[in-house]
Amino acid sequence: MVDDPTPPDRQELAAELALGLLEGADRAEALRRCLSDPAFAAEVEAWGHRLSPLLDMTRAKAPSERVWSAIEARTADMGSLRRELRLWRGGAIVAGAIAASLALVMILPVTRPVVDPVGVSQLADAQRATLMAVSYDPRTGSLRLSASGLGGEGKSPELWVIPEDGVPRSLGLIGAQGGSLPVDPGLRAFLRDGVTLAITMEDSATAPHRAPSAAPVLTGKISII
Amino acid sequence: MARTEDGEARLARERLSAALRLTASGDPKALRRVYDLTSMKLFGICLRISGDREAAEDILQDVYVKVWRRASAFDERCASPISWLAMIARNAAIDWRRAEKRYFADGDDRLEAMADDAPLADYVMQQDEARRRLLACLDGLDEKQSDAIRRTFLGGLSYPELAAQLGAPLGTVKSWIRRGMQGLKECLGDG
Repeated sequence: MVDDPTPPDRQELAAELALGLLEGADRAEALRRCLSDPAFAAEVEAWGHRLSPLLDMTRAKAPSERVWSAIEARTADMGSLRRELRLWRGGAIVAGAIAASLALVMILPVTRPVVDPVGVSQLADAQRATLMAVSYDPRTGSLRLSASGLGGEGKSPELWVIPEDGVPRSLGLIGAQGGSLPVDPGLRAFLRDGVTLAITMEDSATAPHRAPSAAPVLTGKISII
Repeated sequence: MARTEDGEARLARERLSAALRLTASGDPKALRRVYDLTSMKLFGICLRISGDREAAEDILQDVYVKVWRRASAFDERCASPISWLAMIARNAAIDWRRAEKRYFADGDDRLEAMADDAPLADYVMQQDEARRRLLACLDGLDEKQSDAIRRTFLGGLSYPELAAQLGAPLGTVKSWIRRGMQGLKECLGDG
């Protein structure tokens, strides 16, 4: 760009993303970096904490009644999300292997498992609260997803796999109710131990997308057990 | 006098934290309580950034649906409850603006919402330590840098929008922001 002889360094880019200045390809690139570079993501979040007291200066204003009615309707269906997740976790995953750990460490079987290996992941938001469980069966090439409770307002959750090269590939849109998601045969090789899965909220009409357009709402790593 | 206001601020914070904890346990009445305590403030933020009343109401809905989903992730050691909520609202509004893509002129709602960004006297009285430090550090910056940072953060502006508002070339505006943010980080003592 003519006006910008020096591209931003890493620190500057984090500050610019946190301020919300970036748009288009620059923003997509910075968001991609948030997915692949945890230190960068932490720097962006730290800026949010530093600047948030400024928000006290905006003037309060009352929204109309319709806002609460809509929230009430949209949250009513999601009440049982946490309970479903617990049940799903207890029942479908090889006993005890995943436990309640949010660390998403690689689990090395001590003895050779009698079942075929499966990939599992727990997707969490930035505060490390687990909100979604994912398992992958390499025999059928499909993912099984717990209910996400995500969605609404024309946006749908889109699942991404981010392998070692740091470039997200869309696995497609997922429903708020979870369920089974067949993986494109060309993408199956990416679903390996240690790679990152992420969910962003995207425009459902134009999916699947070449790159995410928003910060991930949930991320996690795949462990093969 | 100051002691009473500090006490009130602390009480408000504890009340909100308690409501968030109950929300995390899945209690819909607690979500309503969080809404009653914070919706006017968060709506002000959504409106300030989106500049469109109807859009701001849609964004606000999304914000509380997120709060319902993520309340268990709130960690009081990292942020005050109202800062945590305010950032969710701000980020949702910025996402909306960036998705909108259109380069719009400031609407009436937005201008009205911008009318008094200056802190009110009683707000200043109740400022907690973090806010006092931030404002002191912003005031210590070059005025152009500090103005650019405030406008951007409170207005959800992109670089071209900021350059247009300030009537300065894009490269100059970028350098104000970058130097200002660097100075701010150093002043806040974690650069």
